Amino acid sequence: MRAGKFIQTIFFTEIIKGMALTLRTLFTPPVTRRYPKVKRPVKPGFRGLHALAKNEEGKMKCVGCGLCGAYCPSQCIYIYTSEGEDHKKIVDRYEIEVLRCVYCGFCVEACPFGAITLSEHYEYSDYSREPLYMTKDKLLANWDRYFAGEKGLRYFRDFWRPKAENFSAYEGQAMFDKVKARRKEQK
Amino acid sequence: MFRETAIKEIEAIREQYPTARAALLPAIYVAQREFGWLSPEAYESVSSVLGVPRATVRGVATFYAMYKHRPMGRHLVQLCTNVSCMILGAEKLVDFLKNRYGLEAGGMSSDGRFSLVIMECIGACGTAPAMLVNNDFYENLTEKYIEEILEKYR
Amino acid sequence: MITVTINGKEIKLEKAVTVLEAARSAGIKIPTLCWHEQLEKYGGCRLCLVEVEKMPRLQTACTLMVADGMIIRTETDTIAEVRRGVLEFLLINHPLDCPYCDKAGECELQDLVEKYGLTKGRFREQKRKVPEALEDPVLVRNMERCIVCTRCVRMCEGVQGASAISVINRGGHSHIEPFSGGRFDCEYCGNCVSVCPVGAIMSRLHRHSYRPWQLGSETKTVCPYCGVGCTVVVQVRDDIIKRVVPKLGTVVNNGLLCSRGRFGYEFVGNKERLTTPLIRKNGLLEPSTWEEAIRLIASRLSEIKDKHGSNAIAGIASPRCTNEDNYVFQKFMRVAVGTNNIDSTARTGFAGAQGFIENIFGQGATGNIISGLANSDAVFVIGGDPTTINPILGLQIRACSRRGGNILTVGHMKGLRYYTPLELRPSVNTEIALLEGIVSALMKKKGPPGSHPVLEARLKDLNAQEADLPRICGIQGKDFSRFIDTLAEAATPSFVIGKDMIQSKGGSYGLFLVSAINYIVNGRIYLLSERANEQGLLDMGCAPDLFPGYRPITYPEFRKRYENAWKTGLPDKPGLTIFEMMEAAKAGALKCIYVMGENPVFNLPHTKDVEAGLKNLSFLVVQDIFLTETAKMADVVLPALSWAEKDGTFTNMERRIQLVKKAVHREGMEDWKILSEISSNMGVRMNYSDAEEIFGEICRVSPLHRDLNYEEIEKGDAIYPYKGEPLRGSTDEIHIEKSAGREERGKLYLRVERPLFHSGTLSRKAPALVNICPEAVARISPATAAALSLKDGDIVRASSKTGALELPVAVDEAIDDSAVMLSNNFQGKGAFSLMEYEIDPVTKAPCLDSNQIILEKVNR
Repeated sequence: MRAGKFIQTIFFTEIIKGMALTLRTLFTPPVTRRYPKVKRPVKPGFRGLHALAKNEEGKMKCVGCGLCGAYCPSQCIYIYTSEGEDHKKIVDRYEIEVLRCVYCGFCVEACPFGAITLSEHYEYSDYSREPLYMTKDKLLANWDRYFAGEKGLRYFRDFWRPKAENFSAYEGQAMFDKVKARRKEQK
Repeated sequence: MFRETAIKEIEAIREQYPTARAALLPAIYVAQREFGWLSPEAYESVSSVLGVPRATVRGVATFYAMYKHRPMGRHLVQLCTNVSCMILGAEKLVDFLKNRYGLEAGGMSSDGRFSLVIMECIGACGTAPAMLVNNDFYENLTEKYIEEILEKYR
Repeated sequence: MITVTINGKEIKLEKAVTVLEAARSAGIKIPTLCWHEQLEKYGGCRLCLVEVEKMPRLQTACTLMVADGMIIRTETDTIAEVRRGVLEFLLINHPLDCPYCDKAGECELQDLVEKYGLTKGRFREQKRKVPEALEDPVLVRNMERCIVCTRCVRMCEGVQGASAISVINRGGHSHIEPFSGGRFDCEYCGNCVSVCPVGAIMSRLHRHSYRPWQLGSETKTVCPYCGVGCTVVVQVRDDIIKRVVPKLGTVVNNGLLCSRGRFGYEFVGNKERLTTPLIRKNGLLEPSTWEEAIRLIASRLSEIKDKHGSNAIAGIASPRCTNEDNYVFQKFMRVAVGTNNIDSTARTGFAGAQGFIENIFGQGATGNIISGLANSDAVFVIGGDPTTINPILGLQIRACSRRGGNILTVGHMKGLRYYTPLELRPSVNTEIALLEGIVSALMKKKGPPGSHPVLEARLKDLNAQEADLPRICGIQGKDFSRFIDTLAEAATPSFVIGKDMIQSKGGSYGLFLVSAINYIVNGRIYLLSERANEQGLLDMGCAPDLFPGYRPITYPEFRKRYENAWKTGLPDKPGLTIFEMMEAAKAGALKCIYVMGENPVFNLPHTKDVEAGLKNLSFLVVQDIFLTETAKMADVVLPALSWAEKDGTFTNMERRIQLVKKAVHREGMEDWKILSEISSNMGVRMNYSDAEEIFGEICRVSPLHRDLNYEEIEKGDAIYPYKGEPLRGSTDEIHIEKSAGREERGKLYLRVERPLFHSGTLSRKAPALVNICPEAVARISPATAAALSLKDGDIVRASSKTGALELPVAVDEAIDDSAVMLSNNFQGKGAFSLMEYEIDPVTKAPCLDSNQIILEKVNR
């Protein structure tokens, strides 16, 4: 045993082993990407920067029900609504403190109208807090930027089917999927 | 407000019932007769005579479909258009009433003389078409006959 | 003893109650929609169905009475299935617009649907579509959401007694509507809003601007309007009061509120609020700093004090400020300034009347529990409609009638008209004769009780006897004897006395006669109080003749006590009353008035006189939350904090001390803080860190508040005479000035209307109340209207000796033929501007009932 160890020591076999690995790796493709030059394609359902969805007419979908803010575990969504000219509810301010968000996606899940979305965009950093305090206008602009065209439709088709669709179908007085599931479990 | 006689009448009705609320239905009939229909003024008059809040009076009255909740003509024409009457031309009579008197189903003639209500069978199939004017019964109607009948009701 | 088993839990009950109540007492919750603890049982929603052993079908827990040995189960699979079915029916027409509906989050239907897991409806037809009814200024009806549980109707009929709404139509078309179908035109108590389980009737104030879970803070405090002192919960989001709601189970109002309490809070956030101190420079009020203003006031006060003596300065305290503010105010006036010239608008009736009655019956005679009215078997009401002056007290009177009690009124009370009152309606200015008649008739019937010889001695020479009444007052003998019989038979009668009685000519004699009636039939007296802290203000010694603790100034031993407590000498002569102040100011004897939270120009009769007096002053300081009519005349105006922005205590008319708590943050200083700053600048240091410390001092020096503290008050039983001992016995002498108003037939007299929706300065700044009742109107009887050929809405010129106003008239059957009612609530249109007064020699209250008025139609 001791002799073996001695030979290993004087002939640097470990170095040769190591160099062999290095040599082998030189000819295999790299595992890492050369970010930011090369970007990893995000998986569908990725939870990145927030955006406020618009409907076909280009109007904000959000009605200001406040469920996202109620659900939010880090309490970073602020919604201020008021009574409009036609006595309907209007959303005056919809603000997210992005720096406090933990990207759990509960807000998206809670939203009955599919109004709040998490885009695939994740590259945002800045030198101060203000640019990362998302106001309603910024969030709506995010929709145009990150969910342009088909992308928005796909988002809802594949992942976050808004609960409101449950309401509109005629067998649809249905309401709480959560409860439905719970009952199924019980049976 | 009511005339003196109507107030007396309602007070007499009131005497027959244990509470003022119980006397509401007949009292509302008096009001309907006095005002022609159950106008807000009619409700308020009943309310002030019986001492029952006016909203309650209105609530009770609207429960019953046979009170007059809209302005009605002085005479109520109830024309049957059910199967037998329809086969024997009741629908034509409806048109006739509309053209001749401006009477539409559920509506009132412009001079305020008549109101028309379409009925479902008044039990006179053998002598159809038939109608009621107020509480009087008429059968075997024709356009001419209707004209004659309605002449009697001014 | 009844023993029942609910869900395996054995419950012992003293008496038979409903299954629902039994379950609640054991902490078992049974879902309900139509049942509400304040309302009559109805049994309409079928959600409280429970299983009772040996009963074939499910039973409604809200109507089934418990019987001994009953075994009840409230949650089984069958019950859940049935409840789910009931909910499914309810949802047939209920729109699922929860995201838009302001009720979501506290909606009882929503909670139940969630609980019973209803996920699918089988009804395939269209839902009922009804547009939202937005005609009303403060209430919005959404009848799509209505589930016709009729809670609102039962509340309106059975508790509030307004009967303004009812169920309209039948079956699937039935819904709730006020009489007009649009506007409610009711008492606007909003109690229908608090019982509605869904979002069918809601308040329009701050509509759509909050969700229930976003209301960050809830503060239990006391309503700032009238003397009943209802407990309210102020709900705030981001320092804006979003709503004010009552709380079930509170002692004073138990889940009920009136229009002022519920909808009148918006003055707090009003943009017209003062923000910085204003100082008059070159004749104009200009914004300035706190430092400058306080220094100026301190130096000017010291200057006047040195030059003209302490008694050239007077102070007007505020019945809208807390006990702490008022205590510091009088301490400031007595110690720093050195005068007893302290008074308030309580002098217009409450102060004098209370002093007078306490003189006869001993201290605490008017401090009776408000809810006790409902248990009386007869309530005698005189001098003002309690349902508008103190609405929650009015509800107790209505409850009394519902429980079989008799309501006896002198004069017509519109708010009690459906409560079968026995009504004596004497012709104008003959109330005194009527009261004399009642006293003599009662004496004949019941005989003198003999326990109060001083009072009885005074009853020997009554002018009017029963037989004279038809001639003098125009009252039928039949009505009168029924009235007397009912009053004589009553075992626990109550007497409710309003300001109109006190402010009439011979008011003190009238008060004496009412007291005598009360004495003969052994009743309790309630003195209506229009302001939140009228009682507390007097207790704090904001009166020219009282020290804190309601101690007369003239007793040297009390003065000694306060001199020791405050470590300074105190003036020994009673100061000027508020009316004497105005006289003295006009005459030039008074140089300076310091006004805290009051608006004398508007709230005192004979406006012109008051204005002349205040103009004549060399220095006027006003400390208020708005730039009121008085503040506009001031040399320095200081912005104060309102009721919702400070801590303190109010004492209500039943002498219950209650905590007022800070609900909203606002930059500024409390009234007491401003005063102690000025005081320190004048060389008398007052170092209070917070209101609790001041209250501590009050409890140390005032024998009335002995041993109290905030913790004890929080428990809600801080009623004094504390620990039950009256603090001052009745005196041996009763001063009476017999005088009565003269009747002149055919003349019109101006009367002050005290409307339900307004209280004066505060309510004018609350948009909701202004929307309900936007302008001053002169109310006249149909006979007057006919005589002057006026109709509703005509503009008239109302002129009296002191001025004239142009305003619309309203014809109202409830009004006496010789009276013109005008409220004192609207800027430039106040009744007080048309009134002259004489001071009653005993109560020192103004007599306002002999102001003749002439109405002329103005053609436009």
